Amino acid sequence: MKSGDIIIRSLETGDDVESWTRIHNQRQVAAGTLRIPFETQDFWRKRFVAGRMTRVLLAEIGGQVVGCAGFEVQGGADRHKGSLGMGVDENFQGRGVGSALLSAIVDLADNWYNLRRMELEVYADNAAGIALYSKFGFEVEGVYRKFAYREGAYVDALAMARLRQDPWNASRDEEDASNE
Amino acid sequence: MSNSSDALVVRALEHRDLSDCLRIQNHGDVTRIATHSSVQTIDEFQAQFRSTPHARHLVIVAGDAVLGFGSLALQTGRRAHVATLSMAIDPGPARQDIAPTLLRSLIDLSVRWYDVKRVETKVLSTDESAVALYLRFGFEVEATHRDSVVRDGVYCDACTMAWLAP
Repeated sequence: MKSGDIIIRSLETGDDVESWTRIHNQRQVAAGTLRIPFETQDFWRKRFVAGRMTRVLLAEIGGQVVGCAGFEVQGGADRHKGSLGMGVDENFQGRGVGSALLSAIVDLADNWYNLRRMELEVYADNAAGIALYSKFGFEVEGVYRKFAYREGAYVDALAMARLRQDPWNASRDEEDASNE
Repeated sequence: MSNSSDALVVRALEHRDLSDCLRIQNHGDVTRIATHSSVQTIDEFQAQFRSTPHARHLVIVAGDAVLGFGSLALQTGRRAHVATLSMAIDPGPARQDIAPTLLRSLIDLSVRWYDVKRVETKVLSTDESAVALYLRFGFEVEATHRDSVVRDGVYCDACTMAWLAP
């Protein structure tokens, strides 16, 4: 393994929560979320462990946690869709960490959770984020005006989502074809 | 029973209103256009009200009859200027003033009492009467979420509509 290789793995409790809290509390990272740069480990522990996230993945470079991505499936009548959140250490941006995380999330959504729809919100001026999501097939569905307060101003956010066909119909079509 | 001449009154939702509200929410014509998951039991419904400490719930009545209810969920933190709004109206009565009267009260509550700057709601894209109502009150369609809701066995689009304070 080269020192620059990115490892993707599931978040564990303990040190991982501390690592993610440290990354999240970087001002630029917190500004990209709906939270403040002074969140506690306890807040994230509750969200990750007892809370709503369906799965949370971490990216590591050379043994150091450098990014995090997770999604939530609400279940019930909303079990076909997930909502995504992610963040990358501001000292490790532009090195493919976001791509590696999102690639793993999309793999989970498509190949393991069979989600029809993955959705997210991204601030309208976050060009790097929008480009990353677009690369993985997310499309802009609209603009939320004055969506949140950030660094002293109300800012817009984009609604983006990615759709995928349920393979059920494809496999039924194959059966029909082989039965003919 | 209410008749069409009874004045509409909007007031806080009381515990005793829950069964009336649930009857409206579980009405087939209401669940068909709802963007939340469908039929609930009274326990689930009560829990929903208890679990939203930052929400305000109103009912609209004529005489003794509950004709609809609406909720305003006040957001927190960096979205503290935002409230999300939902309404359900009894499809029975023929009168047309129920939804506009309730909506006016909810917007008034947001702006005059809570200093909300942005009110947002989600409706089915095919729910033309709801879209028209919100447009009439100055909401705009901001986003169309493809295949966001399962209804009658198929995926349906939902819209986010929002109103901004002047």
